[in-house]
Amino acid sequence: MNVEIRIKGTLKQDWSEWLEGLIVSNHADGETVLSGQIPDQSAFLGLLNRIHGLNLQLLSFSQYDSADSPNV
Amino acid sequence: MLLLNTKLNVPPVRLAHVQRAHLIQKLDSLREHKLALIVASAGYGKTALVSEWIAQSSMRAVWFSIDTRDNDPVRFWDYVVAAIQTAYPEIGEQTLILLHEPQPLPIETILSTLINELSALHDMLAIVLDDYHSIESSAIHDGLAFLIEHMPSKIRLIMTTRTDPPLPLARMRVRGQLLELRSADLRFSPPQIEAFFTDVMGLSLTTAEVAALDTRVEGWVAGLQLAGLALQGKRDTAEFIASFAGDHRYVLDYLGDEILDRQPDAMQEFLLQTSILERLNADLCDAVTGVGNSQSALEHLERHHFFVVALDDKRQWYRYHRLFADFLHHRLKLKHPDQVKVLHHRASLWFERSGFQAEAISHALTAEDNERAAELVQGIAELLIWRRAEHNTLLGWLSALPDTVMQKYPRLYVYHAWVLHLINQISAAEQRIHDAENALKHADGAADTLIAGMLAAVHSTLTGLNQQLPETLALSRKALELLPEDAVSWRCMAAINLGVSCAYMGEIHEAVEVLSYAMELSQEIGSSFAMLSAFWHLSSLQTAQLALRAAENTCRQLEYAAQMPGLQRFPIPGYVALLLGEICMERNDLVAAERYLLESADQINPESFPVALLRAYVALSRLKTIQGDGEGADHFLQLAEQLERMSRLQGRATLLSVTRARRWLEQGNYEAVEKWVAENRLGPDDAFGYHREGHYLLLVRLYIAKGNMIDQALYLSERMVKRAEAGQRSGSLIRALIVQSLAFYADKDQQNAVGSLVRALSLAEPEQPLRVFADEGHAVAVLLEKVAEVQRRGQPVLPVSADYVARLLATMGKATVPPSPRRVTTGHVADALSPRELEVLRLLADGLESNEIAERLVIAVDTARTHIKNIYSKLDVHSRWEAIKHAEAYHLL
Repeated sequence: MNVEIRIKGTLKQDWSEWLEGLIVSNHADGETVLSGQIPDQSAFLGLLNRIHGLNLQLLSFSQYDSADSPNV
Repeated sequence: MLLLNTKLNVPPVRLAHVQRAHLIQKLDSLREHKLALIVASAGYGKTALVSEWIAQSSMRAVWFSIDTRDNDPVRFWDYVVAAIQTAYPEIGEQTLILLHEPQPLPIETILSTLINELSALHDMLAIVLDDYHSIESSAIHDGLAFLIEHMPSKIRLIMTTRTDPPLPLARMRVRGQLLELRSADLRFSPPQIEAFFTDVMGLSLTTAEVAALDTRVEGWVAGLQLAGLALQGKRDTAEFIASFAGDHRYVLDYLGDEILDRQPDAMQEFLLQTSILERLNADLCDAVTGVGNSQSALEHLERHHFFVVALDDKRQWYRYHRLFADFLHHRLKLKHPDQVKVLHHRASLWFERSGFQAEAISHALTAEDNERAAELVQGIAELLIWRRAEHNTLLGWLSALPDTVMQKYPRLYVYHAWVLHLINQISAAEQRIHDAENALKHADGAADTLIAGMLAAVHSTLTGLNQQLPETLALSRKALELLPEDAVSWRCMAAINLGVSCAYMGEIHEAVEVLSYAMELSQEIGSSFAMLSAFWHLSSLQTAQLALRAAENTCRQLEYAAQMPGLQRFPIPGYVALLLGEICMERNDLVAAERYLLESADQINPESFPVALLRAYVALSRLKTIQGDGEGADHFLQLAEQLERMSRLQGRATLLSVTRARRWLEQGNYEAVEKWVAENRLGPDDAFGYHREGHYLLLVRLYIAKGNMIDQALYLSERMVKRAEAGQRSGSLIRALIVQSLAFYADKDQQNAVGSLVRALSLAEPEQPLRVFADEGHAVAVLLEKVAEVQRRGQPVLPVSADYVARLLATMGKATVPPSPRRVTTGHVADALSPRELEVLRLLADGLESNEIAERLVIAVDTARTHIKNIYSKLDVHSRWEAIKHAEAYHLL
């Protein structure tokens, strides 16, 4: 499944490996978007747990099956 | 597996810390709740808060630091009990015994025991479960929910966790049982932030600076600590805070590198390399880093607030704050990706050397040092299986090992099959059996005899579950041939499987021999489960075969073994009492029987062993029948039926089915018995197994009672006699001969009736059973009188003593059969019969025919017949047999 996760604050690119290999992109508004493909919902929950464990603030997340557009 | 004491220590409170009085006060109200839930992300000071509360609270508290390795329910509850024992060493002994049973018991059974033990506490006790988010096992969640639901009044739980646990929190909230502290409560307030920098970090900040930091980290304690570390040694505090506050970067990104980079190279390396460890001590750190003086490094880090937490007062064991460890580990992977495996390898070696096998295996697996991991698992597997029952831990390791490695260690396949079977994954277990067989084909050598034997033993357990009797017999025999004498646990497993399948197939003598052997082995290994199952099958077999002294001896043996020093003390809840009760009942010691049986019904846990409880109810129902208490008999039958419905015994309780039908028969409810015969498809020509003998004995009794199927009764009872003779089963033979004797009697063949009965008596006499004869009712009494008569004459000499016959007759004199509910009351019937009719009835009961009665009373034969007809009609019966039964019931004789 493809996911897109928005978090508050900017995050170094090199956290990617820690976060299921998702692409870490920083936005000018001080937010970070993590996006990419993960195996399944279990992986997704694990990912959320890691984000939570780092005390990062979750703003939104969405999941979409194909590569076209995320449906929130 | 060793329990780590460090996990049970309440973390020491740092001398310099920020007091959070309002939170402490909130926690004090725990007395009015069941559970305190402290839930927030990493770095909010959850653990520190609880240890601070403990230090100043009057409530006693015990501690359990949870990590991901505690996801095995056995291990988890083991630690919980160990934690409780740090305060109350005498509590939990019973729980631990049940917990470490090689065959898992339902967790509710185990926890009920713990709850019972805890109910004895006079003072309040708080149990702290620190870092509960590490638990993913739903079995543990379920167990905890059960514990909370049934929590003794003096117990409180405190749980720190990053995420809400899957417990019925909403319900607890509504009931006011839940005390919650969440991130919003845990955040440092501006005065606390100021106090933290002043008192703890030794910095003095302006109010504006405090406000700026507060806005930036939002009271996140770890963020403040990072800022404090970064500020140390900085000349321009204001400038640093201003630029930090104006930045969007993740706090750990912004401050972590800064802090790390400012450390000397050696210290940086130390931090990175030791970040792979979940707990640290100087010796271990030396081994992992390959550099000395780790002790001073650890003390330095602790002193300078470097997210190092001491795990004990002696400053031996430490751990990094989890957030900081994650950060360091992350940096390690970026900076030295090639080192990670090497470091884990070194850690694994150190843990192995120091006797911490579980951690050695974890690190070996992470290092992908799979062969070493396999060796280590192989070395510890039997301990986990037979002593510790940590099946989930073992399962986790075995699942992590790649197949290519497993193939080189076929023994691991056998272990895997065994633990998979224990968690009911039967087809996966069978697959592992297959894999082991294949792997063994490619190997040779002496060790493989052992593995092949273990394999056959496990395989026989699986075929036994599927009721594949011939396969189970063959495999368990093979296992016993292959397994060396010192593989005691495996031999015991095979012997039980062999004994049970022999018993099931009616191979009584081999079954007794093998099960006695299994009992010896089980004592040797101290496995209460093995001992109980061997005992259970052996004593059941002996009781059923009327080998009463041997059965009693088996009971005594179990009681004795349970007290032997060195053998783990285990509960023999009610099983011995059940067997002793059955034995006493057979010997007609009804007072003792009742005491034992009630005791067993009280003690046997319906969840862990429903079959045994059902048997206790059935025995009590029989006892009540003997005592003439029909209501009581029905009551216990109803209890047995309820239990059958509630547990998974549906339709499998042969004993109950036969007992119920026998009661109908005794009540003269032939219709119900015939329906039962039809449902069970019983016929005189059936081929049937040993375990269905009870059904066919009852079929013979029905044929006799109906009066018009005597030929079938004679035919079937003769078959049963022959079968029992061929199988050399003396109990079966005695029962078959008794019903055969009754069939002859019903056929008016008194000579053969007495002949069969005398054979049964001579077989039975050495063990002196009484009820097996007495329960058959009046006809047996009449025949026994005949036997006694022959004995008085002294001609011919019978192979049974006059004493035994006299005892039996005395037994029957006392015995009564309960009046069936649809009949009229005693007084009424007695009044209804004329004195003459009563006289005739007594002669009928003595076995006299109508012409003999006429002769005795000096009346016409037709007159005697008329009396008999009138008696039948007044008693509302249709046969002599019934008339006599009712006469007995109403004490008319």
